[in-house]
Amino acid sequence: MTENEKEKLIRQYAAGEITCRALREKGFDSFLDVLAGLGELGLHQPVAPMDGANMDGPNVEARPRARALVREALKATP
Amino acid sequence: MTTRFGLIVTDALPLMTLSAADALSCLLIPDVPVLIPDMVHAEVARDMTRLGAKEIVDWIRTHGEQVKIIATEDYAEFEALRAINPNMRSKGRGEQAAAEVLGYEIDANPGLHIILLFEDSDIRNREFVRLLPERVTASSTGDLLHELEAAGRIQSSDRILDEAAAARGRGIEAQRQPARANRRVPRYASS
Repeated sequence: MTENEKEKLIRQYAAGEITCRALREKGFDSFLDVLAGLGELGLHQPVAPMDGANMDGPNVEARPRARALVREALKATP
Repeated sequence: MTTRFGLIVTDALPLMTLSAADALSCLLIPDVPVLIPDMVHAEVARDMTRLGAKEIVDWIRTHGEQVKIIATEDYAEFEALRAINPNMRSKGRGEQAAAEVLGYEIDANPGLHIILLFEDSDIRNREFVRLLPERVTASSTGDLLHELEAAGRIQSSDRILDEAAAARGRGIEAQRQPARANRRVPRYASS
């Protein structure tokens, strides 16, 4: 894989267009190399959208429930 | 009374990300056990020279009361197969091991809710919990950091993710500089 190809894939990952699994399948042996590539490009990992309108994917019902559990636990902790 | 829940780490990536940002303590919510399948731990520990691996193992040891490595048949099988073929990859086995841990935990703890922790690009693209009991749900590194930020436990989730990438970009030696004055530790946790 050329440097240009690597950079393109990392940018796609950062934009949420491909998954980290896809990067592995395309030749990134270590996630640490992905992190390094992101750092060199001034990017960071994609964060799955959390707002109702922007939230997508098959876990849109599960994620708010998980977040509510975490929120509740944090509120209960001084 | 709050809902009792545990966190199962299904993949090495959340651990690597938080470790690179020196923010593993973000996983330590009081009274919430953090369960790491042995397969996931093995993926992290496989190459101790890589950035983050030693820190993660040290962190698990330090917080042994709350952070547990759970033995699985899946990992035992993997090791047996690897004895035959040393080049065998662990692809996908972290999640399989996490599913095994999940099955055990929901059977052994009928009142316990479980959050499965995934990397963000995975949680956006793959379905995990449709066929699981109501008390099992899914979250991601980003979701968790967002809640910590909203609760004022960390300054900025973006900053942690930036730091994870930047730290790796700066290289291993820079990451291991002794002065870690900006260590990001949630207020309730010690690291």
